[in-house]
Amino acid sequence: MALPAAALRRYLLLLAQEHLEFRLPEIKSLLSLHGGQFSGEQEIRVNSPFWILNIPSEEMARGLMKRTVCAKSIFELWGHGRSVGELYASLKNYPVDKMLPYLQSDSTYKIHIHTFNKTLTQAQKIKKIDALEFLPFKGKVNLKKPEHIFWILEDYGMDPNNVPEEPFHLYFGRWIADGQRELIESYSVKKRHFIGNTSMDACLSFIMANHGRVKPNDVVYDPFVGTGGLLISSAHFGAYVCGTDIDYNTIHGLGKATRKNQKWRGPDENIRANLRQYGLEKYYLDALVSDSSRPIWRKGMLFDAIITDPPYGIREATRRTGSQKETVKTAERSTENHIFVSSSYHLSDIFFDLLKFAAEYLVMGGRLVYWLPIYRPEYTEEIIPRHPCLKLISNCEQMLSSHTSRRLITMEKVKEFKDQDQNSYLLDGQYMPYRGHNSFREKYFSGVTKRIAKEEKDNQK
Amino acid sequence: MVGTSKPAPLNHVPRSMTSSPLRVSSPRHGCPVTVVTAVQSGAAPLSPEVTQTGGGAGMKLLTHNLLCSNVRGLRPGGGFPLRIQASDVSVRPVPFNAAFVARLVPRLRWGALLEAAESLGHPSELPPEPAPDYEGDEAFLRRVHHVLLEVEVLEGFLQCPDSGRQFPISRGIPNMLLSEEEA
Repeated sequence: MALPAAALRRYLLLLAQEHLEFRLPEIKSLLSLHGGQFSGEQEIRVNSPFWILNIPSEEMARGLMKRTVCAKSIFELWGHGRSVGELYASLKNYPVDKMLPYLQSDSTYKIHIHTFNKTLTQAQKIKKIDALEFLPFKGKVNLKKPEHIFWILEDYGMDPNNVPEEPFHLYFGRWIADGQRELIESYSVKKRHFIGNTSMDACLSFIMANHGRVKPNDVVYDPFVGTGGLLISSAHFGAYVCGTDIDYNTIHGLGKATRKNQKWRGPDENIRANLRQYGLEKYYLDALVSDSSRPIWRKGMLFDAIITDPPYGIREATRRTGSQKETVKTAERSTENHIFVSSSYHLSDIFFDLLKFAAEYLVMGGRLVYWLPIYRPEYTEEIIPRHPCLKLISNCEQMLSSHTSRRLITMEKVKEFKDQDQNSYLLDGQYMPYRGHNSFREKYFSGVTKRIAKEEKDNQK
Repeated sequence: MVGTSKPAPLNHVPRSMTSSPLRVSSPRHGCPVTVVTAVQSGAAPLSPEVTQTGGGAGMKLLTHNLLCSNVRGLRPGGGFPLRIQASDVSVRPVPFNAAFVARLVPRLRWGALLEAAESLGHPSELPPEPAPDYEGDEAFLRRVHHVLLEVEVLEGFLQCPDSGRQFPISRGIPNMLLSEEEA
């Protein structure tokens, strides 16, 4: 939908300075979810907390903020510049008829000033606010509950050791809405009833649901569901959720607790109870014990999104049912014959199976979002697993250590899955070069780690 | 970005990429407990033998409609639908969402749904096929909603129609794992 530039309004997005790589894919996905489009001409400095976006309507801007955990606030941009003079000139150019509805004499307002990378004294702030007297404000100032809030935002750059006297960029806008960053605290893993060793932190699980374009009434599936943390964020956004896991005890909420000082899991520690804790129980469909390499679903486009964190073989085992024997841990007592755990499941097989599963079981346009563990010294973009039915949407790195990281991969189904070319694409070498990472676990733990750490230390001398 | 210093005025949101040991001092109470084995009120601490279902939840017929047997060597389509042999079924209300139910209808195997509801003693009162204008028919959607989401199997088996292999359902959770020999 290509609207002329004049029809688009300009908004200023103020972002939180964490998970920097994950922000643009989140904002793009959310804009597209609300019928918008992220155009290439947007003035984005990717690492800056200030982004100017062209969005067709305020409604779409509000829709974006109802979902984002990366952005703090959004403003209708009235003026901006690289100096105070430019800012004021820009404000004088802003159409007065667009300002007037918010400056009426019977309304109340306040002006807030926000600085990035610098702290101003109260006196300095007041001076800057007073300098805006030339704007046609007719209403009364109300600092407690104003109808309209305006912000001056000043960008003093990205270097805390080199803070300039004057800001590099200045902005003035009308506050519209805040994002959903409070969810990070309210859904914190610290307060969650049921956790496991590798439960995902709340912010990242919301980012994953957003990268996955999860919408209300979607059916979202997690094939490595564990304690269900990733389902919670999708359910919060109105999707109905289900998951499977090979670990019987985790699905049933049995066995040893993950929390220190707690021996066994308690009565409200299972996935359904986690959802109930947040009032999301109605979105819970089912959890089942199964091996994700042997799908239990009838063939068809059943799921709107697959959002998952497969095991990396480090803190949880990678395993599947198969031919070799392995001793079942006797510490978790259960009378049922529930685990037939065995053959080593190569890391690359997990992703191969996962992409194949997504290609077959996602609806058209549906997304797969998953974490891929990476050994950084050997990483190139070519090792990201591919599938002819899936298009790579984004690839965002989160560092774990100097030589390991994980990447959040988002793929979208763009082509229907045909049974006959199920495995033929394997012959094309480009599809599975991830094999080198099969020894990720060894590399993570091995002497390689120590050698690299020593080398880095030596280099610092 | 590991190592990047953050400018002072912003609130530093702590990053918890990994879960560190957490301290919990009080036991968690959140929901009604169905105690199935003998530990009753009194001094005995909770142990893994006490099964808790947090309110008695079970496998929904929606899930059943999507499941099929993964036993090796079946003819195509031979693993669906699984026959339900239920020893404990319950009905549990779920808030009605017409839009969600309408979205599900095209994904369902209608015959298998009716058959499953029938076999559990909860005949669905649904027509042999959805009418073309089902999306606007609230009464119809409510009946679909009831059968798909409110009827739950707590205990029993799911049986593969071709091989006869039985997958147990316990505490409402189907176990679809195959044995070493079968896999």
